[in-house]
Amino acid sequence: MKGKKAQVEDWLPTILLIVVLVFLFFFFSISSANSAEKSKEQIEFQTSSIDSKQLLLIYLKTPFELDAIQNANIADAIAYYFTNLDEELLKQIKTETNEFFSKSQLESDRSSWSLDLTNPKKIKKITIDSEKTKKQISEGRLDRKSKIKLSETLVPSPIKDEFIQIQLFSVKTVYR
Amino acid sequence: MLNKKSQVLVYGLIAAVIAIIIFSYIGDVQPKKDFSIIGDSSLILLEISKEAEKTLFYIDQSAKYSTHQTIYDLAQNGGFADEKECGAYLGYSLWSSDSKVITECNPDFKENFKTTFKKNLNEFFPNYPQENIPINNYNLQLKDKLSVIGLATENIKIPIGDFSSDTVYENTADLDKIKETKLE
Repeated sequence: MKGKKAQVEDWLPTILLIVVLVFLFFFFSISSANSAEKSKEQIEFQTSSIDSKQLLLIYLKTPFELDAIQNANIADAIAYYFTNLDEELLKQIKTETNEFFSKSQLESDRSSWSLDLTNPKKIKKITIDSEKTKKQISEGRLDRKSKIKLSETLVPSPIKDEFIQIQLFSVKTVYR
Repeated sequence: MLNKKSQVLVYGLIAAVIAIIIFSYIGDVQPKKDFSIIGDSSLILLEISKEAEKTLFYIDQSAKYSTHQTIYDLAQNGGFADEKECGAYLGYSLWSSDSKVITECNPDFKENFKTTFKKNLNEFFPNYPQENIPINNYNLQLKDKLSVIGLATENIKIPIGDFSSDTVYENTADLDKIKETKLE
């Protein structure tokens, strides 16, 4: 009959193997769960990015009353704002933009939106934020990581060598 | 105490497990496949269709502004696109001269509109990223009173960057009609 110590020594490699296998089982199950979560996030982001591209296009095609053009849309209004810098027109654009995006899926408990209009030739940039984003900025709760670019497009300007870049962002709601 | 043969077997198993871990890590750092997740290719194609829509919208808007500019240019130039057949007087285009009768100098509004419109439209395209909108790509037709229809002669090529840098897919759908602008 072997002593207890000798028995333990006999079983030691097997116990070691079992411990390694258990560790591996947990390691692989956690890493596969992480990769599945990552893939899900990636798909969700891509899907929302496609939806946002469509949303931005619909927004730009939204009818807008403009004296200079018949059957004008918001893209025309933005382009005309950058040609004559009419502050009254900008106010109207901001109102329309708020009305449009605040009803979209971008405005939720977890996120909000922001829109950048840039004329690179004139080095002029206008940012239109949702009410929620404005509140977050005023309370200092907005950092660089919470603003994610979803979609970007260009619209021409009536001045031929100019164009306007329009960028749509999702702003994550940060609670502190 | 286990005999030597069985010890080799157990340690061999441990070595095999360690080897599997190492190989799985090496497998992870290998270059990623073209489509890393299921449905990725479909998502990329959907994104490309949106890119095509954005391009078409840019062309639509450019056509709108070109139409306005063309009418202005023609009005400034007495209805002529380039050459004034009867010459000009103090900067004003003449529709008649001593040597010719009035009808001979009347500008062909439709043809001059097409020429000036094409010139104006082409000036908008170099601003677009990747410059993938071909120049002089549209055969123009004027319909009714003031409807302008542009038929594309060449397809717009939208590069699909995520597949490989050389791959270019031609988007052939809905690109034959650029704009029908009613100016009444």
